[in-house]
Amino acid sequence: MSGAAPKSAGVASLLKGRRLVFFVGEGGVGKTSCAAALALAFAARGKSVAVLTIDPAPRLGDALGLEAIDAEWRDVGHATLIRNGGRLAASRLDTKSVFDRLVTRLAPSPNAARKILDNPIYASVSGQLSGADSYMAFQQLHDLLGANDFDLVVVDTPPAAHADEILGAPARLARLLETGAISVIADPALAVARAGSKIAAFTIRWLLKALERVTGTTLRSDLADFALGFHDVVASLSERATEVTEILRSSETLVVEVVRPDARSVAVARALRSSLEIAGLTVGYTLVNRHTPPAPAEAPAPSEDASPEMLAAEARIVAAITALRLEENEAVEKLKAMLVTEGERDGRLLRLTESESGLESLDALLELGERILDSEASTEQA
Amino acid sequence: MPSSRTTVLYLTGKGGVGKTFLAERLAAELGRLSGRVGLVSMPRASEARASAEQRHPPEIEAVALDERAALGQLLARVVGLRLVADRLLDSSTFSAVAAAAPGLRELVIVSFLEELATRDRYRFVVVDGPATGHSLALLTAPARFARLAPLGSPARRARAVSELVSDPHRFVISIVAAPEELAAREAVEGLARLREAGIAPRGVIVNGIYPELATLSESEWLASHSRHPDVKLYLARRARQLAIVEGLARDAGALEIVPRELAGTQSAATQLEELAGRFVREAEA
Repeated sequence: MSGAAPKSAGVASLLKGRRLVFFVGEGGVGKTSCAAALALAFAARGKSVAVLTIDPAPRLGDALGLEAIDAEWRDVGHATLIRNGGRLAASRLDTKSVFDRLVTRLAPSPNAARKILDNPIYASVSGQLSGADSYMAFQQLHDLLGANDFDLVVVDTPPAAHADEILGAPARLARLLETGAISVIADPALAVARAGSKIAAFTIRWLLKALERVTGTTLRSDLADFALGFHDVVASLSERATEVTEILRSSETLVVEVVRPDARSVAVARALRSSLEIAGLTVGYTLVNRHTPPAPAEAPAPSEDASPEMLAAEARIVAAITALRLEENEAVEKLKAMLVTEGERDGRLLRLTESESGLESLDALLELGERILDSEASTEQA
Repeated sequence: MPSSRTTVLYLTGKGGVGKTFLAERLAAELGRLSGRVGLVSMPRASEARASAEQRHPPEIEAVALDERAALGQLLARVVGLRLVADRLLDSSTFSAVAAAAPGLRELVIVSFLEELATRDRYRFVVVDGPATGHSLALLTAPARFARLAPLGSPARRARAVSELVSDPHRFVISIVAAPEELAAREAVEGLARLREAGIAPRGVIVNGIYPELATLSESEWLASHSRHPDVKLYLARRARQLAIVEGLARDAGALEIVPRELAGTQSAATQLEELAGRFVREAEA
């Protein structure tokens, strides 16, 4: 261990002037827990906070009072929070119901809305459009930021290893509109002009027929209906998504990346970070989550009554945990080296020790949130 | 050894459970045991990049899946002319339709796999597949297609792909899980969903459990007597993992366990070697 690690500022000092904290990271790193913990701790300081979770683990969902799968907002009750006059509203993203509600609201008429909702293409698009979760998170975010009811909005995103998984769906949908592809499908005669040859038109038609069989829908006529009714809706959805993307790129947003302390996870994080950079989003803070607790300052003396076999087993286990810590430290060093080369200043990375008791209660979650907000309260590993 | 058959070993499971690690290590073992192996990574941009930096032993050939090229191949087969297929690929209308059309991407990817499997170039093709939900869409696309499109060369092709995917000797699917609550639950759900779709998964591989460094009686004694916090930490984590594995065994049946690689322990390498040996024996049975 070499000297004192640079003091790590907690997230709290970076939250001034922000409206949004946007959590990104691959699956299994503990993104949802960290997002919920940060939101809870900030609310406990007397703020009004909203947290949108994507797929909370059952016990975390229970702790937040989000047992049911729906898009309802629920107020989280906690003594500290109430005492300090804070408020935390939590919700879990339900892609389909958000989409349905938006269609109902944005369609030109109730009749048009019903036609869209009943359309099999809509069912396919709303449920299967890759990145639909992110897309709908954006839509919900738009409402949240527009309403301006909260001091801070904290958002969890679906597991992603590339920016495109988070930001790509709106662009894909928008492209579909721009190129007029939907009208080509509706009227294949157009394809002749656009695709450049009869064979091309034939191929598009063949492809659509084949896809009809694969998807079990009557793709072509449904798409025509869909195109007519859905065009306006998609246009305003795209507009809303663009607005949210602008906010994500602005200084109103703090992007927090969560990563696990192992070589593979660090490599994934690095790639995600640079693809986000290309998309105009800068990661402002990194949480290295689920660290093995630091070694005891002094190795305790073995039990007097330990047999040689027991001592040997003990030594094997201690060696394994030591090796684990070493691996983790190496991974974090790589991560830090990357931060430095990107010209970031120190103190934008925080290590969080894995909670051995889990995060089943609001108290445990609050404790984690306090550490994220204000790392001075926690012990930073050297 | 008969060289006329290729076995596809398809790994799926939640992100972050170690599919890429297992795919690479198993490919290396299989290469050592049985000759040439193809290693296919599905397009997960960052992970592909992360592992591309790795060097593979000579018998392993990393096969990149280029979706655009694969779509071109499929199109060329339909229209019969490469030139037209290429022109189509360049048309923005077509790419918009292709990007948005449900099912097309899956069909393209899985027929690419089938092509690899029939090329007789490899004894094993190891696929580092996408997460369970996406894999399911991927693997069921040709069956739906083949059922509903009775005629033509694309239909023949879809049938061949579908036959490959549903032949448990030629197409072996394992779900990889980490010894963690969410990953285990997803593995059990994944098994059920694959079976519902008429695909028989081989089973679950639990990756990353802490190796057994103390016997049961040693562990019991240490848990109550050791003063070292690391020992308590290790035993508590391993006990939690074992409880999850037990639950998995109840819900999922056959399980294979690959321990976490830790400096100074041998068990991960041994288990991988044994696992690869079982794959080879099963493929030759």
